[in-house]
Amino acid sequence: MKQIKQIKQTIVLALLIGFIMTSCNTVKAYERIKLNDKEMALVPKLSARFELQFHTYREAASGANGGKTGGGCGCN
Amino acid sequence: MKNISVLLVLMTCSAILSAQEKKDSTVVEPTSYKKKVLDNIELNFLYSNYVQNGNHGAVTGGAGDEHLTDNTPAILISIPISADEILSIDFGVDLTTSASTDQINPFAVAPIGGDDDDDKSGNTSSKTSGMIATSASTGGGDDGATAHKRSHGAATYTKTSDNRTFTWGVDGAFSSEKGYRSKGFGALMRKSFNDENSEVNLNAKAYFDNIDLIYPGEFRVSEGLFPSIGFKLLDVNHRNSFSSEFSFSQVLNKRMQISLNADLIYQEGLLSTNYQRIYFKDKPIITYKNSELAHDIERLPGSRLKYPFSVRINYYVSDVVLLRTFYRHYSDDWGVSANTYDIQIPLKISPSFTMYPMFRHHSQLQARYFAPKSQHLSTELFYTSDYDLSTFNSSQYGMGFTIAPPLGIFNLDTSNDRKRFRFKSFDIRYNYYSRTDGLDANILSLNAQFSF
Repeated sequence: MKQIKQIKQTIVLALLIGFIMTSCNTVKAYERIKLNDKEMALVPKLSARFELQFHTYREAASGANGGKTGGGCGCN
Repeated sequence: MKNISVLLVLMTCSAILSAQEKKDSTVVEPTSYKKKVLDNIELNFLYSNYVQNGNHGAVTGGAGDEHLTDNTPAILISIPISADEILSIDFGVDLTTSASTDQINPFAVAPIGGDDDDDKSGNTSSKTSGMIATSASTGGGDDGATAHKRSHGAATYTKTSDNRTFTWGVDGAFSSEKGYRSKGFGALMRKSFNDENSEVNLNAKAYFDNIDLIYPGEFRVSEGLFPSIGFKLLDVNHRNSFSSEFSFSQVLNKRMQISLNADLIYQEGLLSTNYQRIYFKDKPIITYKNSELAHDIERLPGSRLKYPFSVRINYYVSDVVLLRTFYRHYSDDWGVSANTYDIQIPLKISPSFTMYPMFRHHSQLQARYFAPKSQHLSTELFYTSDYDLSTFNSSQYGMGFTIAPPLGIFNLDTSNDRKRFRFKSFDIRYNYYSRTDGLDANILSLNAQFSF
């Protein structure tokens, strides 16, 4: 049951991404003023690195977010 | 540790000097113009203060004080060593105080004058006739006690191709704390195409950790307590982690871009924490000196495979409002599965000032080896009462502020040269985190960025 739910979620996500991807077009360098805004960066802010670190320690899930995925204890 | 720190400092100084020399030489002998990947040296001062409270301390078997404070100053410096190359050095220290580390050996008597922090003699254990032959352990400080320090550093070198569409790099990292040392290596590759509307990132890392086997006091022969009789010692004292990260990012239109990320992480070795206690349902609990004597320590499988994937979509709604969104699904072969949602809404109050409220929700299903205190049976092979591996939901919300004027904060103009010293930006954020098992935390982080 849980697996079926996960598969459904993945399919919905894939369809959503597919829909978004089909709507994309080539944006020239001079048209990227908004995309080049620092707030639009597709990575976490540098100041968020400590939060990523404590999430890695306090939650069983980690990875796929540009954070650390190994090394160090974090046993406290 | 000191040698590595000295090496990092020397590397930084050498790279800065080299960058300055190259800067001078380009003035004297200009050839063809090539835009630098990074114009100036960038310096980031980072700091974080983290305070946590809870009552499910894993050291005390899933019931006990989890109070913890952590102060983390760090420095990140990026140095353009040529038009194509960047060397980044990252160094920081975690200064932690923790209530639970006091409980690793509550039977120890602190010596007069405290304990030398560098003395590891009390923590080193070895096998002798199947018993623990160590732990002089006369000092609470031997166990890391209340105060705890972790040093960590990393160096990354990257080189970008002349047409700026391909970047490769290598990195090395270390961290060192009492009873735990880690070193890591990695390589990265980035390729943009489709007129830089698409980009692929590949990243591979390997961490090699060494662990001092510190056991709870009742399992140390020196304490003379009965749980140490017949106690099964751990026979592994390393933890290796290997990760491969793949991401694909795509510009969707003039206002929106997306990235898809997938990781594959494999860990092997000692994946349990050797001083976390376990109490069984089918055995009586005996109290000694106000402490409950554990039945065993946490035992977990020797390998773990994690496979998370995530999607990040950023949308420039208007010149005032932006949206930063993130979703991750995580699962592993221990039975943990989790979903994480994160949204930030940067509000551009002025061209120099942005505030960003943020919200994050995380829900996870527990590892198959988890059970609360006194719920495991002694016949089980693997067991943990660490609530980080339990089923819970967590919420985090907070606010951040960024000041980044085009000419820098205070417009610190020290010369007519365009490569002048600048206080480029200041970013501060606060978040409150709460977990449905009762743990909560406050975290304040800041980043001051300079260039010169």
